[in-house]
Amino acid sequence: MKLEKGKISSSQLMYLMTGFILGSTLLLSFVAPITKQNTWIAILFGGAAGLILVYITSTLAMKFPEKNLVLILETVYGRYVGKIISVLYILFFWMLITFNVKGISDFFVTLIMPETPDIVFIIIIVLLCGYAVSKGLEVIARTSLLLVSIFIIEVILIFILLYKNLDFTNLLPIFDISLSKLVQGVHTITAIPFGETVVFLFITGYVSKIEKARKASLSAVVIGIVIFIIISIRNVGVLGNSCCTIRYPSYQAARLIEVGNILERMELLLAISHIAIIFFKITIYYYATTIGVAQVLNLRSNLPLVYPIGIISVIISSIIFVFHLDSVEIGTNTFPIFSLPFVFFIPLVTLIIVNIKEKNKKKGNI
Amino acid sequence: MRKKCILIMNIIIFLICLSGCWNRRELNTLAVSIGIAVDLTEEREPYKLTSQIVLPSRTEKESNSTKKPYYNLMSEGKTLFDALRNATHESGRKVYLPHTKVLLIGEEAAKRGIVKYLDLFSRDHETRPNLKIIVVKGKASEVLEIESKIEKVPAFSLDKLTEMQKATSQSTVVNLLEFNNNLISKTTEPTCGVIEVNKKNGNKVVEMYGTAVFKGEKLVDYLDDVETRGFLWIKSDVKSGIIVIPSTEENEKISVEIIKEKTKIKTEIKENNIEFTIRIEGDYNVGEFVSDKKINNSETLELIREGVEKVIILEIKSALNKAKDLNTDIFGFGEKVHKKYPKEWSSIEEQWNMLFQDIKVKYEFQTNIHGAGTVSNTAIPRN
Repeated sequence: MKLEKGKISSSQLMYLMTGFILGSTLLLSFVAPITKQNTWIAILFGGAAGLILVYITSTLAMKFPEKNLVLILETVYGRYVGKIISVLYILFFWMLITFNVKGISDFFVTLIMPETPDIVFIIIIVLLCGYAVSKGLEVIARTSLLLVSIFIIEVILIFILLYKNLDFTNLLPIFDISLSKLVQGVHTITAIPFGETVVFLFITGYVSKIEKARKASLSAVVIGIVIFIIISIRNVGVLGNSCCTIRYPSYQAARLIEVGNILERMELLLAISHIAIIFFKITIYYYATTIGVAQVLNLRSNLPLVYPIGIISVIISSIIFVFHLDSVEIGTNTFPIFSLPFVFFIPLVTLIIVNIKEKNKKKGNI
Repeated sequence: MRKKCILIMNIIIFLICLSGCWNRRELNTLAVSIGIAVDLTEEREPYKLTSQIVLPSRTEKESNSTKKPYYNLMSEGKTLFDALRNATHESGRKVYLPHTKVLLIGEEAAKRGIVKYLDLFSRDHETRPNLKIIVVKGKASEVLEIESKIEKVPAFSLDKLTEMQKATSQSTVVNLLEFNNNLISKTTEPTCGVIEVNKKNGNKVVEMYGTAVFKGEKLVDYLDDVETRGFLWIKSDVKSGIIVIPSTEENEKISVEIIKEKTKIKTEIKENNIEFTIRIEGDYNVGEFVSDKKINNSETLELIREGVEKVIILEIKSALNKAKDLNTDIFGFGEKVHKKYPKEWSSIEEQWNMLFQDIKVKYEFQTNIHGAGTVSNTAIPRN
């Protein structure tokens, strides 16, 4: 019984994944206080590690065509253990829905509408994402090209408009960083935007030509790295030393745009494109959570789950962090280590087990 | 039918919920602040804040000229934020910060430490990082009361004044972001612009020249106009200005206008000596040249070129000496060493204050004299 009837092409997978990775743009500021002007190096290494992680997950996806994460885990670990691990994964993704929803509502409450209660933003965003999820994967995939290109155009546009403020000497000295801090920065970058792509094991099953999925995923990661590096170089170049004290560096950088006396106060443009891209991240987690729950409970459809899960997410999001900066604390110190089993160990171990099983089978046949 | 009902209900819900912002603020509920002055007083509530509120209805041309198009809202508080909110005791409108152009800080407040005045403005979501910071010799609130003869609103005139400083390059203009960057830096000391209230013909006028030099967060001294230009030469921040070559036996004073300038600084460590090579590439026009000599022969041009270079060296030296006297690395030399020699830096960093005293500076020039105006020879009486 398949939960999702839609099919997506491999290029749509690439846009989806790019959008998903770029959805962590705001979270890049977690790393800035640690790696300072060397953030782009951390992104480069973190991205390289991300490529390995994506390689592992995409191999896993190709070994089990047309199966999602829950089914993969059930076939590898057996019915009960597989279900337990699946439930853990679902809770992990569910938690990330609430983190990201809270993240974008914090962004708005802190910078744009401080007197509005954050529950308003939370409800609107969850409602929007719930609507997208209820329309199915094909619809989400079709919006991806448009929204991702809006975001990329915005990044390039702001880079050009800020070019006269850029001071590339702010990036010097290169590699002036202790090894432990670099490792911490690389770890955070690997975990937050790139490692989380493990959620795509719920989506790769629906790609029409599964053999192209790996290439699409890897190119999405490469696009993600390039855009992140552009963003981090722009922020450090424009903001200098302050970059590591500012919570939303991209937004502050966009505030500095001043071309003549005409192009000023462009920061809302940036806020709009950020909503578009974070919408993606939340929608994909949301989708994965509904599909996962439906699969674990052996339901025929994930649609009845969309709004209940949404309501619970709204409630959790609104109570999850009382103090806004708690999310920074968790993002830098707790989350990268907490997510390690989900994004790295379990996929790796699963892949190894699958390989051993296959070898045994071959031997048995001979 | 059911679907249509749901659709219509949705439309109604969204129309009601999303048609306006929650905390929208209409223009008639705002007090739009365009300039803020902070002072320190000895009273129980020591933070005195003056925000200049623009009154849009009175800025129109037809309006009665006896009514001022602005209002200075004064308030006091235990902290700056407290003072800002205390303004609502007097005004029915909340002070709205995003259009604030200048932040004036009184001398006394800057001497006690400036950070506690800046934190609010970097933290608040309404203010922008390109807010200009200016130290006022004397009381800051006074400056917002002095109307210029040309502009109607003092804060706007201050904003234009800071823009115009590039015509002489004799005062620094620093915004909040740049100031914070220098505060965070371990070696570079922050600087900012200075305003002084002078009396001319019995009228009070606001004048801007020079640079306020901080050590850490505390104001220590000022650079005068010559030293400031020297400082800006090193920062590659000279936009324009007049260089006056002193008169010699053969020549009257010559004025040369700076058209374009770019400074490159090379850093080298030679046997425990830190050496900076300052290379100034500039384009200049001759503006005044009173002489019976022809300007277009190579000797005269060489003379002007040398004269320009000498003046620049003098200006830079005066700035350097002042900075060494105050022991403040306002030029960012320390950062330059750090960037070029990251490995050696750890040993240099601790004694940078000492090493800064005996840094060596070499000069290189590429001076291009481009034009000499619309006449080729001076109109002088023939003997």
